[in-house]
Amino acid sequence: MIDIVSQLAAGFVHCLTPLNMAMLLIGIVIGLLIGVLPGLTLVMGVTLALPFTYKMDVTASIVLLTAMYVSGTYGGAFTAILFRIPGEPIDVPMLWDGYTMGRKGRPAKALGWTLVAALGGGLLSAVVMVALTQPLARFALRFSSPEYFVIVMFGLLSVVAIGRGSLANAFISMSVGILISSVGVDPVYGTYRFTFGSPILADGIEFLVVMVGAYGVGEVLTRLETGFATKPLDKISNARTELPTLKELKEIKGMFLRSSVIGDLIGLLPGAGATIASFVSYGIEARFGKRRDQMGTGVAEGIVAPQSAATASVGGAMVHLLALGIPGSGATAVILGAFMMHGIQPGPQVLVKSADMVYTVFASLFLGLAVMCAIGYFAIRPLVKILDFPEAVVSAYVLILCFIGALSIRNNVTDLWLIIGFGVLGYGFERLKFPISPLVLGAILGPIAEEAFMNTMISFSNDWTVFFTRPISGTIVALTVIVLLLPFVQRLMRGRLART
Amino acid sequence: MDKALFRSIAPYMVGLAVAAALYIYSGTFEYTSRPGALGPEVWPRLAILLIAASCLFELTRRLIIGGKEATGFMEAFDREPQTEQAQPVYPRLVIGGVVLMAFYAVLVPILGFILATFLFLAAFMYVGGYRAHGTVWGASAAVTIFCGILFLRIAYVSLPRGIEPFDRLTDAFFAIPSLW
Repeated sequence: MIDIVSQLAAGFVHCLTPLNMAMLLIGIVIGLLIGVLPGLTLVMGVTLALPFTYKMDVTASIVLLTAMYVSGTYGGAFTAILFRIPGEPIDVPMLWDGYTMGRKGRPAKALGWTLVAALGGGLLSAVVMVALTQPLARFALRFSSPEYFVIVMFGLLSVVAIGRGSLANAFISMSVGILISSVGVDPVYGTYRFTFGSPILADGIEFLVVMVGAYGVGEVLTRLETGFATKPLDKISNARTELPTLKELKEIKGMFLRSSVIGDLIGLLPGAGATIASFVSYGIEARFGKRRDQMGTGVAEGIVAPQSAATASVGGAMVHLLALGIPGSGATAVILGAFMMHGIQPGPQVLVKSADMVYTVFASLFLGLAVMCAIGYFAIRPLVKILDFPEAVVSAYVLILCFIGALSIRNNVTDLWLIIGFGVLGYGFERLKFPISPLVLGAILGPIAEEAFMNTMISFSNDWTVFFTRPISGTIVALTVIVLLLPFVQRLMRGRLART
Repeated sequence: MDKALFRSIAPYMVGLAVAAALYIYSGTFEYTSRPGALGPEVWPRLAILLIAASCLFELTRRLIIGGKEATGFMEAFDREPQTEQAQPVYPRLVIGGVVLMAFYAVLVPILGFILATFLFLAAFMYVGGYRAHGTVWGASAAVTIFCGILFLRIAYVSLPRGIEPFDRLTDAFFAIPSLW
């Protein structure tokens, strides 16, 4: 414990260097702006920032991306409350009570509740992250290839199971991602796979191309299809934040803690990110909360529950990214990409080899929350002003950033063609209601899963039962089955409730 | 079979056909087999089989229940049912956008990053329906210059220079003093 505290103190010192502080500030502001802009999702924003980090120091780049990730879970609440425009899917529950509270003449109070919820949830999340990463990483040092394989599959299948729409579509999306990752040279035999005689495919398809194409270009095409039709805005001259009183805070402290813990736990589950945390926390409050009958009428619980859970999920998601090397959400997948670009493989060894960097990132989360709330409190008006930018202009810039990302990967125009191709694929997936996250995670985790699978098969003479018979991997397989069965159990329970 | 149902099952039929083709193609990988070791086609084939099984499942489900969309885990937490937004869609705009991107990919090695980006930005804003001409050209120029300085002179990202005489424009950016 003392070890963790002293390393965290050193992390604070490193974080206070001019470069890291500048990246923290820039990350927070950009994250807030991304949250505000409905055309830019959190994952897409973090993805677009990647090319800027190519030549940057690894710590500064991870601080930048993490700051964007945290503040992106908060910025969208402004527009959801003020204009009924959820900047992010995370903010949809904010429409039900946040916007309603605003319509009742208390938008400043609604924004105040959001700020307190983001700060409280975020702080708890940072504490959880610091406390759990090292023990989990130590535990993960015992893992061998079968355990790695099942934990990667657990991450992938969780994304598939806990989402919207058809489970089969999510499976297809994940498998396409895995298949894309197998293009190029096979790691065991060195033979070419799915290259169709093309030299550029012989080098494989970079997951960054898939990620930037499907998330960035695909999203722009989806919005272009609607002619960039955004609603006209109300006046924003009255946008300000009014903090809740101590008495008001005391009344909801139990619910506050519950929502933050839910957010943290959901963040810890690979595959479940801030959006799921936000919806689940709101759903639980609406079903079991003290004022459940009033949910949806503009009560504080309806604002605090989703916001605190969404921000709290960040710490949980970062824990398994750092300790196991498994990204559980789109944003952490991008952060994993940034690590890999700098030659660092997150996982149990990262705390041994790059402890300074990890603890600087931890410290940046604490500092970032304070900066984020200060900016949210004092600069709300200029932040929401960005909505005045025409969507066609913003989208054109987004595409250029995507193209720069493609061109800078291998300095090859073919990657530009690939990114356009994956953009069209992402657009097609969106239209046909195939989720994109499993595709991207499949492309990122596919090679790790394949390597672990092949190593297991070689080490254990092709005995596939090893995944079930070893204690840790067997437990993770059981957890995976439970997660996969969740949608069916939930459907059964809903059916039973409807009958009674 | 009615049109709506056919449209709903068509992607899965295509998915099945592609999976079958890729499965067969994966049998053509050339390698020297090692005794007791799995071949390089095994892993991708697992993914292909999962695609085929999922397509088959969804195809059957839709044929039985008539093309209805499935709901997932998260829908249970919706307070309001998420209905399809009734806003009009313009597929021609998407085609225009994709064609423009393709033009960019063709032109960027010829015109270089600076000129191709400037033209792309302006053209895309017009395709997106923005008609304030001064803003379109001014914003395109400003962002192009900003990106040129940031990526060519500060981040040192290698971006296409273009061919003679367009490469002179890129060279002009290299004349700007670097930060380091």
